[in-house]
Amino acid sequence: MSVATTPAAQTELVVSFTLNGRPVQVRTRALDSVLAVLREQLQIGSVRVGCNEGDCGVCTVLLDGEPHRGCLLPAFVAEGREITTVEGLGDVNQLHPLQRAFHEHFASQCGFCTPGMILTAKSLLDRSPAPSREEIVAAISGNLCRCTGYRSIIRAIESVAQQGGR
Amino acid sequence: MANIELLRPRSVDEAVDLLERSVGAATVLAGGVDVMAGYYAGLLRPRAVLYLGEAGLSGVQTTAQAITLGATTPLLRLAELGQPSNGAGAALAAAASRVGTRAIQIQATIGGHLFTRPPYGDLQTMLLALDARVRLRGAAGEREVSLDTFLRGNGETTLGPGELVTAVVVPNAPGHAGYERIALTRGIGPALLTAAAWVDRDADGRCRVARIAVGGAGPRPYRATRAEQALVGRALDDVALREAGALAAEQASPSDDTFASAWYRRKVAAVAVERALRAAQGA
Repeated sequence: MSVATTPAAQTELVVSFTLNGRPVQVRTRALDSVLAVLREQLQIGSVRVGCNEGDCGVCTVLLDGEPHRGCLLPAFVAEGREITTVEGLGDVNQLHPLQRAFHEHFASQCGFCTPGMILTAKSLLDRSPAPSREEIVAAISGNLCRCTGYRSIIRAIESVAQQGGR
Repeated sequence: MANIELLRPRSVDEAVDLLERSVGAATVLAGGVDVMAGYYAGLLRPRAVLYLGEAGLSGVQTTAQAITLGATTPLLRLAELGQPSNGAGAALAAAASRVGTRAIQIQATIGGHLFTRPPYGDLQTMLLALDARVRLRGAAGEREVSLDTFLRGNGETTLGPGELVTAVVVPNAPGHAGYERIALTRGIGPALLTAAAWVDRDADGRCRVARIAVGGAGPRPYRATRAEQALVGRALDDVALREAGALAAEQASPSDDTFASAWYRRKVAAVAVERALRAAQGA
């Protein structure tokens, strides 16, 4: 039943956006999240389901370069915009400097938080190429890690910052 | 699951019109922080969603009298209001920059923040100390109410049926703010307690205006009116600040919860108010 018969009302939505550099199109409903759409329709497994209420950060995606909670972001809001996940940064043959640094500094143990951590770190380095340790800690304070104790993650991000790399 | 109708107004007029025609069936969606979490937790099953993100309600207007925050202005925009480093803008920046982390500040809006439930919503405390007003639009027109009147606790408000929050208006009066946020963790995680103070002093250093608000010690943040009255006309020395903290804590109505006991919240309220007042004395 329609609550308002108007051109402004829609139930099924076709949403087009750029995912890791290539154009994609999905069918979604009003409150389907970016997280659900990425995992269930676009086979992006790096974006994880954690708390599903914005606390843990494992569903982090970059929307036009800025970190967002995939679980709290309605998919239709991504229309015409660019979403980046770790799949868009590098792969096993060609790691992104942050991916390499996480590997070298043992910054990933179970790996569940790693994609979100790396994307959050990337957005920090993109807007502040030489962050202080304090800035790094503040930036990742919204991404929970239950394995590492964070020190190795902070060291990994620091090492990339010192190379001036992204 | 029934399909949810998405309403996408392109102006405030259209938003008000759609809201009225939906006769209570539409949930208002701004940044999505509370609505999406509620939907995925199964607490929210709206028939329709009215999305305000395209209705032209985002933006900050600053005049000599007031800072007007459009309802869908993200908290990150407030966190960037830190210049000049005193006054109401700096006060908003200080509090907004400590809500969640960047990802949350990008998505959360100032309008949505007025409806968030404890233990979240701690920017409400600063807005109360700044004597903020809420601008509402409905079919009958526009009205403004004080935030103190608007908030009823636990996410409830005095918003009328068919009404929308269009802006939060913060007076740009002379004075200094202080803000104290007590939490178990930095970044994510709720505050246990927040205290905000706004103080304007005369040339002799005596208190002309004091507004104090405390969050996390009851169902909604409250104005510590007895502490405020006790400070007016006095020099803000250690004795006065300690007394104000104690009076503010007397007005608390905390309860035990997962994060802290009522006893602890009342104790910390006194300390946090004292610290916020000290910080509000300015340079």
